[in-house]
Amino acid sequence: MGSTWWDRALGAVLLTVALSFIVAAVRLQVPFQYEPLGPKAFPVILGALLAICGAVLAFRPDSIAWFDNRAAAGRVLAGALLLCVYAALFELLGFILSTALVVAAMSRLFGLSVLPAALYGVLLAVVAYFGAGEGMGLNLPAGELFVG
Amino acid sequence: MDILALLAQGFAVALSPLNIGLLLLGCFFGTLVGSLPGIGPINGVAILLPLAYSIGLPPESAIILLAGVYYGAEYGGRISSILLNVPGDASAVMTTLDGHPMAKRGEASRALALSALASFIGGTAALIMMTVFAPLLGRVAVGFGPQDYVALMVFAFACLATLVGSRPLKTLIGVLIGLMLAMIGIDSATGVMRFTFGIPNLFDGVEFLVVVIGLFAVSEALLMLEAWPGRKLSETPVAKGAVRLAEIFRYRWLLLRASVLGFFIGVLPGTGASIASAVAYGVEKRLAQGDDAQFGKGDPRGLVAPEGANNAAAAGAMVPMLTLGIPGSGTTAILLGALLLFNVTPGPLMFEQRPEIAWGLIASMYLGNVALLVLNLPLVGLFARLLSVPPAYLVPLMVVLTFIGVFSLFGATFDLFLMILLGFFGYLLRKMGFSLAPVILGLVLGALLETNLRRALSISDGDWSILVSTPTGIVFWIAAALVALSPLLMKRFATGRRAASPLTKEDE
Repeated sequence: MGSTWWDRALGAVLLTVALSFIVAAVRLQVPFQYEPLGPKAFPVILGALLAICGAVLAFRPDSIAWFDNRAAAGRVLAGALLLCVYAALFELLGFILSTALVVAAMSRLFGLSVLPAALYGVLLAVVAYFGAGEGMGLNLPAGELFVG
Repeated sequence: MDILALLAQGFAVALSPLNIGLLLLGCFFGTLVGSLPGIGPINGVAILLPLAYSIGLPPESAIILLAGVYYGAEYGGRISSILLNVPGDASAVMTTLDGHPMAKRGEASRALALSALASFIGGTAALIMMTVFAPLLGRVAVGFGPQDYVALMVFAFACLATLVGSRPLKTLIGVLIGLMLAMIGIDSATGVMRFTFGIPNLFDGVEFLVVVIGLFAVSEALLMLEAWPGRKLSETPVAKGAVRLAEIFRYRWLLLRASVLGFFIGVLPGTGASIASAVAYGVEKRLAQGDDAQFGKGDPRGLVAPEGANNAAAAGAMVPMLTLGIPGSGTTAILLGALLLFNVTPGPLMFEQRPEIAWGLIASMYLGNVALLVLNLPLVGLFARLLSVPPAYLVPLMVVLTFIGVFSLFGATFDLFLMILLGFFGYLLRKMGFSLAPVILGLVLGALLETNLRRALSISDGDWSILVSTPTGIVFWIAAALVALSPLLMKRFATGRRAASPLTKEDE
């Protein structure tokens, strides 16, 4: 089940982006310039090319099939949300806690049952924290909630 | 003689304990990411790059590690091709054709050993060619003017557009998106801010690492979520069996052909290991005419040729990246970006100004090939067992590594969200039939292309005809035009015959 609607929409978006890119480039204030081309010309060329490509895509789209089933779409959506949650909690809760939670939830999405998922989350979080953080000296958050 | 002295100097760099350790680590990790279906070399290099950068490795050590992952993955790709009939990465597609039938016949260990030896010979032969040709090419390239570089990059994009991805238009759009991302930030010539939307984090430009990790690793995690549980894969058991090393000598001429072919296909921009292995397979099949009944049913020749060629191409693809500063594939573009992060500019001058990097890398690749062979013959059972690690463990690990990498570099939540946003974008593009390597290539080459264009036009005082003023430039323009028009010409000559192409996949 494919639809050409996606390519048409993308073509339109690219066309809009390209035109705004050109406008932004032309409007740049250049106080001084020692060479003939300056900082505007190349972006304008790129914008023009992208505008053409976007228009062609909108008029000659491919048919795109999106998801095979609802479950797959749900998993991708849940995974995307989890990533956002992870980023939001990363500094707040600190590396160990946020990682343990998100890893456990994500392995649940891949069908792992509750106990192994929780174990894997805690294990990975602790090993990575001490391996990468303490062992390799990388900068990982300890958690604003606890450290202040 | 000159070359041998320089190579010896390179070995002195590559043989330091730190670099040997990193090389082995890179080779092991590379074989692993290559053999796991889904995680190709591009993801392996992308995930390791920020870690290598933030633990403060010197540039030559970092590039030795990352290059080890890159060509190690070419060794690993064959394992799942042979045992599971699923290519570990795009260039191992051809290996499934004869490798898997051999495994089903109970000759899995023979197929694995033969292909490991073929990989070693292909890789080493290509390295010898690289040692000879890279400095030569570098010497020629010193004479290139900015106008020649502009033409060369257009040629590279033309190759990419016609040869990679599902549709030239979409590859071109990918390149343009990459080039436009490269425009964000301060213009170095005039100090003007371009396309920053007033966001301070963007004043220095879009962080290359964030783009790479977001587009590849994050989108890959989403794709694996979508594909799970997928079809059940049946793994062919690796039976213990004697491996006669002498058997590979029967294929010496075949391997020589495959290596030379693979190397030169690898050197061309836009073409890489997957095209090289397809061409080598086709050539051998044609040469075997009359005796080719077994091709596709487990003929060892059909296994040895693509494996030799794709390893040779992986080494060949390093040549334009190192000597011209112009990568021909997604992974070599990331390697180039890695060198730029360390303030090393690959190009004709690198061989003279930073010989420890150029020659250290080449010497390490000789060692790496030996290490991979030694690693792969006895440890193949271990890698085969790792194939069955379920994604429930693999994907969260990958996600955690991307977060550690990006956060340890920038220490800001902004970059985490930017990475995720780019991951969604990459996922959408891949679902819509775009390949992402062109985006990375555009991003890496954007500044270089603009700088050379502006420099050329400063020389000519604004006269655009300078772009076609040198023989070198004209040759590249004509080549670019021929490549761009080749699909049309092909269609005219070969009416109706559609070439079966394995090139729609990512990861080169």
